[in-house]
Amino acid sequence: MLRLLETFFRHRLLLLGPVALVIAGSIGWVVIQPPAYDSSVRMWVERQTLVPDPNSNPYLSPAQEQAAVLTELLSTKYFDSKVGKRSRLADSIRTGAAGSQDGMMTRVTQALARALGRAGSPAELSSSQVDDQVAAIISSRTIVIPTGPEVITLTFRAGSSDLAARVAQAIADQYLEETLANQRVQADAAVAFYTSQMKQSQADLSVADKAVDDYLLANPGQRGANAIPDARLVQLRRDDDAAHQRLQTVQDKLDQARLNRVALDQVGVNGLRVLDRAEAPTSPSSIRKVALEATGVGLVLATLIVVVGVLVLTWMDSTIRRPQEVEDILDLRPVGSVPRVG
Amino acid sequence: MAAVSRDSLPARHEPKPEIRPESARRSKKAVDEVRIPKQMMEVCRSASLLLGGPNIRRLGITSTLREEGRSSIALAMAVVQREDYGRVVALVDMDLENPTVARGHGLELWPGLAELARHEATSQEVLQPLSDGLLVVSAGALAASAARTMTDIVKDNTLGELEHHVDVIIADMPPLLGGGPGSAASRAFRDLLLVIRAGVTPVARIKEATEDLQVVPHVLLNDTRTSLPRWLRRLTGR
Repeated sequence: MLRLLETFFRHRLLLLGPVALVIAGSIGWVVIQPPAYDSSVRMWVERQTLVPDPNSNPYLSPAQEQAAVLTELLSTKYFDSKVGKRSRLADSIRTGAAGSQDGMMTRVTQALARALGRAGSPAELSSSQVDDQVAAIISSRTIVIPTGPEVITLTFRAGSSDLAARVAQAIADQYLEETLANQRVQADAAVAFYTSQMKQSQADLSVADKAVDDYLLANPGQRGANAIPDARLVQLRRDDDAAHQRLQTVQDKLDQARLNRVALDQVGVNGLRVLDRAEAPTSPSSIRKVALEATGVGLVLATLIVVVGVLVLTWMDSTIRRPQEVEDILDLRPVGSVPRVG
Repeated sequence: MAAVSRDSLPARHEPKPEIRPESARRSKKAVDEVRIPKQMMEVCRSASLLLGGPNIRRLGITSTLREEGRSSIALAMAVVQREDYGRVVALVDMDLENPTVARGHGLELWPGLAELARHEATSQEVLQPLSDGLLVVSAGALAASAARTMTDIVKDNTLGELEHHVDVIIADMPPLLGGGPGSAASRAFRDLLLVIRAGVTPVARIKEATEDLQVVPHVLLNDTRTSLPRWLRRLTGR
């Protein structure tokens, strides 16, 4: 430990030089950041009671569950491109208007790339490239936080207040739409399945009814109210009752599936609704977050430089510096150490 | 330290003018005192005690490489022997290829150890007083290679001749590495003090230098310095 400390103080200028550069870089990074606007949407999420969700996790709050789902969706190009089209972010990127939301470094890099002929102008972007940029922007600038057991706060950061509000609202709307569409697909599938089951059950019931009727027609003695039914008739009647029961069960399920499907057309039944719509912020968001991020990154980098530097310099130092090392490393007997004079 | 009058010394052997270097022609000056840093003296005093104090007869001061402070330590050890134990000390410059002791103190460059080995000078003639009881034997002028001369010195026990006139011999030896006769010179000593310059000499070189020695040297770490600030030294008790 002392050896490491000595190495640090011996090479303090060498080690602290890069640290100073990192700190200067962090400060510079904060300074060159363009103004950013944050727009938030708050959504109410609750467990579905009318239309139960088979994937619901009882150990998570509804907000945690839905926030995780939304975060997953945000990382998909499919979802982001739909948000891009809904919010007209894709059009902004295509026309280059979204450039104002990029950081200074990004803009400088893009300008250099264009100057070197390594990147096309925004007007030349293909739809796939636009989708890529949309996905990159949305996934990196959206924060989804469950701010309560049943409230999700979705925040999008952009270079203009209008764009921030549009994209934030578009994400919320698209999410609601996706969730509803998914549930509707499941409900439609259930209705279709039970409808086919219903037809099958009705056919089975007709066959059972006809078998009983045919038997009674062939055996008139069994028709009387006081007639003792034979074994065959008893069996046929039991089959008929079972067919009735099956039909009733399927009918109930079909009714429930139809109810679910109809319920999904009603607002709020799926447990999701927007409480606070996104509004265009009137002032840029605080620089504190960027400063904190830059400070954190700077501190981590600086610590890394110092620790790795000290370890490497200590490892590279193959000389004897203390009498104790004479014994430990050379296995010789030290008789003294003369301090540096002057 | 008391001054020594040159008149009280034995007659000097005058070498042939054609083999004397220019530096030797400078005027002789009396050496009033030998200035050695106080801290170095204290460390050498402790080291001298650990090495045997007044019982030391012959001590070789060597190092792995040049510029490790070998000559300064040798001088300090010689002064300690003189001051602390009142012994008559001979500081012998055995660094035949790069002698510094005589030149550094304004003494004659020859006759010295080389002439003594060749029997061209007597022990009395090569012993030059630096101060009271502290005599210096310069390296002398080489007539053959340094390695050959050193072999002769060791083989003929030239230092043994000097021991008849002094109580202790402190030798400023050549470095052990670097192609010089350092390793050969070490055979003339039973006590070796290896000077290591802290933070400069690589461990691998030190091990390479010491693995062939016939005696296990003691080590004096020279030029040590802590880079810890004072508050941290206080905190860590260093």
